[in-house]
Amino acid sequence: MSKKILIIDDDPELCEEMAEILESEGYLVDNASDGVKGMELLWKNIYHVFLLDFKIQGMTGIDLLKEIRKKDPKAAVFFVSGRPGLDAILAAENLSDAVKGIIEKPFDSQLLLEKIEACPTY
Amino acid sequence: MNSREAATGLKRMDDNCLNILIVEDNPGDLRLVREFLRESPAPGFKTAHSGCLSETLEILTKASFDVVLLDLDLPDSSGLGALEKIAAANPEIPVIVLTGQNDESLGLEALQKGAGDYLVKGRINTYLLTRSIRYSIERKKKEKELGALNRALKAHSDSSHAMMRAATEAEYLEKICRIIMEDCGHAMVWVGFAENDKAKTVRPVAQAGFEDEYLKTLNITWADTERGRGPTGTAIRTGKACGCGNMLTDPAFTPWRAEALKQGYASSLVLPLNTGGVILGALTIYSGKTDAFSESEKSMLWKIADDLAFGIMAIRLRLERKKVEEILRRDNETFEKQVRERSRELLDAQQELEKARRLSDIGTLSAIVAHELRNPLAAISMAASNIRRKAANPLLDKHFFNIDKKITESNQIINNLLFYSRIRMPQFERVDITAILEECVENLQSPPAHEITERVEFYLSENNLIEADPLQMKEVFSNILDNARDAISSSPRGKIHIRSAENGKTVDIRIEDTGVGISKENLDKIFEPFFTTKAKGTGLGLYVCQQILKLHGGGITVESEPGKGTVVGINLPRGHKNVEKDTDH
Repeated sequence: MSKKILIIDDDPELCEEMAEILESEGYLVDNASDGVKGMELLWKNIYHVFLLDFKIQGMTGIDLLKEIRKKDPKAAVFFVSGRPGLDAILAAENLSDAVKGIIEKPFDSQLLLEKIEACPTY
Repeated sequence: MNSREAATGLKRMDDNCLNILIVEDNPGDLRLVREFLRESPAPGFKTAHSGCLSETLEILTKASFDVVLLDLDLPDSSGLGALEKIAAANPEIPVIVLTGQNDESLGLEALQKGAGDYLVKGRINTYLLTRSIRYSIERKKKEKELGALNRALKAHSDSSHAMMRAATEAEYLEKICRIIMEDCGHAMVWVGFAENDKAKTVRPVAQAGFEDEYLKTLNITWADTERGRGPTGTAIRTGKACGCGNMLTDPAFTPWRAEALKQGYASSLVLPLNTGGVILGALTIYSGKTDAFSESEKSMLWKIADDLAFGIMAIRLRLERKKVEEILRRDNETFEKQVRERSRELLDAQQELEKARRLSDIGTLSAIVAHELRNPLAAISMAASNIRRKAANPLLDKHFFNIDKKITESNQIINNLLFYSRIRMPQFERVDITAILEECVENLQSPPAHEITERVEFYLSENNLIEADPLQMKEVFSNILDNARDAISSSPRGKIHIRSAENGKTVDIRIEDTGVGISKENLDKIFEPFFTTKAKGTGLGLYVCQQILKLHGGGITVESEPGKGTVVGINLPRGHKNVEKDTDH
C-alpha cells in the first residue's frame, strides 16, 4: 500500500505544489490549510506521514502534534517550517521524540522525498 | 603720690599745705608776695622761689607744686613765652600770671593761653591772692576732669567704629584696649575672660600698654579666694564696677601690689563685660595716678565696657552666621552637584534604554521578515520542481538551475538577516569562558575525514569568570572556531590552540590555528559586513562578532600569515561596568 500523507500548512499554493511532487512519486496526499479542516481529515482517515507547519490558523504546531499522537501514535510527523529554534520549543514540551524530523523552509524537493521514503509503512 | 614721685623717690614738700612756686626776679616784689601769703588764713602755704625760667623748669622736675606764680618779666624770658614753656613741661600745674600795671591786656592773653588766672602787681592783696590760688587750683581740676571725659567720649566713639569694622574678635579686643589706653591716656588696659574651670581663672585675651611679662604674673581668678577678691575678680563675680583707688594701701590688692608698684601703677578701674546676664569677663584699666577715675569718666568707661560686651557678642554672631551661610552654600552646591549627577545618570540610563530598544526592534523586525519570506520561497522552490518534472525539457534545465541558485541565495540573505538580528543588548550573567570554549569545541561539526576535537589543545588560565551574555559568547566563539576548523580542514596535521590569560581587569583569549591563513588584502576586509571568501559563508560572522564584543566593552584582533596560520585575539572585561558607550551608530 502506498503511504498516505497529510499536509497541514496555511500556504495553499505550497500545499498544492508539495502535493503534486509527492503524488508524482506515487504517494496519496491530502492537505488542509487550517486546523479545523486538518483535524476533520485526521479523524476521518488513516495517515502514515504528517507534514505540519508550525503555526496555522486556530492551532499551534504543538496542539496539532498532541492531537495526532492521540489518534495515531505510530505515525511519522515532520515539522516543515521557516521558524528557527523549533527543537528548543519541542524539547521544552518534552515532545522531541514525538517528531521524526524538522524540515526547514525553503527545502529541496529531493530532500523531502528522501525523508518520506525513509518512513516505515505498516 | 604721682608716678614721677614714686619713680624718683621724691616727696611733696609738705602734705598738709599748698606748695607754691614763686617765679620772680625782683626781690621787692617777691617779699611782698610772701607777706601776702603769710597773712592768709588756712590752709597754710609753703613757698619756694625761682629767679628765672631755666631755674624754674629745673625745680619743677625735682619737686611738685600745687600752683606756680609767674612774673612775666624774667631775665631769661619775657612775655608769655615763659608761661608756654612751663605749661608745656607741666600741664597739670595751674599757673597764675603776675603782670605789670601797664600789661593788663597781657593778662587776658595769658588766660587765653592757658594761665589759670592773672593778677596785676600793685593791685594784689592777701584776699585776692588766696582766692586766685584756690580758683586756679579748682579750675585746673575741672579742666582735667573735662579733658578726661572728652577723651572717654572719643574712646566711646572710636570703639563703636572698631566694632563695626573688626574682622575678628581678637582684632576687636586689641583695638579697644589700644583706644582706651591712647584716647584716655591711661597707663595700661587689658581684657580678661572668665573661664569655667575648677579654679575659675580669668584668662587675659587682649591688652595694651603692658610689659609682656606682667600679665603672666597676675594669676587672677573670679573665685571667692584671695586671688579672686581683687577688683577684677570681684567685678566678674558681682557684675558691678570695681576698682582700687590706691594700690599701695588697698588690702584687697595685696597679692599684686609689689609687681604693680614696680610697673608704676597706682590705681585701677574694672568694668564687668555683661552680655544680658552672663558675665563674659572684665575690662581692667590701670592708671599711674591714685584715684585717677572721676565719676563721670567711670560712667563713660562703663558705657564703653557695655558696648564692648555687646560688640563681642555681635562679632561672634556675625561669625556664626557666616559659618551657617558657608554650610548652607556648601550644602546647596553639594545638592546641585547631586542633582546634576542624577540627571546625568538618568540621561545615560535613558540612552541605554533607547539603544536596547532600537537593537531589539531591528532584531524583532529582522526575525519576522526573515521567516515570513521563507514560506513563499518554499512554494516557489516546489513549483519549480514540478515544472521541471512536467516539462522534462533539457533546454529548460539551465533555467531551473538558475532558479534553484537564486532560491538558495535568497535563503542565504534571510539567514544573514537573522544572524544580524542576533546583535542585541547583552544579557549579562556570570559566565565561565572556559566552559563555553569547551562546549563550542564539542559542538564543532567535524569535517568527515578528521576528528576535529582531537586536534584542539587548551592552554587556559585559572580564572576565566566574566560578566557576559552566554548565548552571544557561544555565537562568537563558535564562529571563530568554525573559521579555524575550515582553515585546517585541508591539512591532516593542522592544530588549533586555545589560550587564555588574565590581564588585570580583562581576560584575553587567543585562538590560533596552523591553517591556510588569510592574505594581506583580505585581512583588511574581514570585519566588513557581507565580505566572505567562503561559498556558503554568510559574510557576517566576524562583523557580528566584533559588534557583540564591542557591546561587551571588549574587542577582537586578527593576525595572519598565509600558509602559516591565523591568530584571533579576543579581550573581554571582567565586569560589565566597563562597557564603552557605543557612539558609531
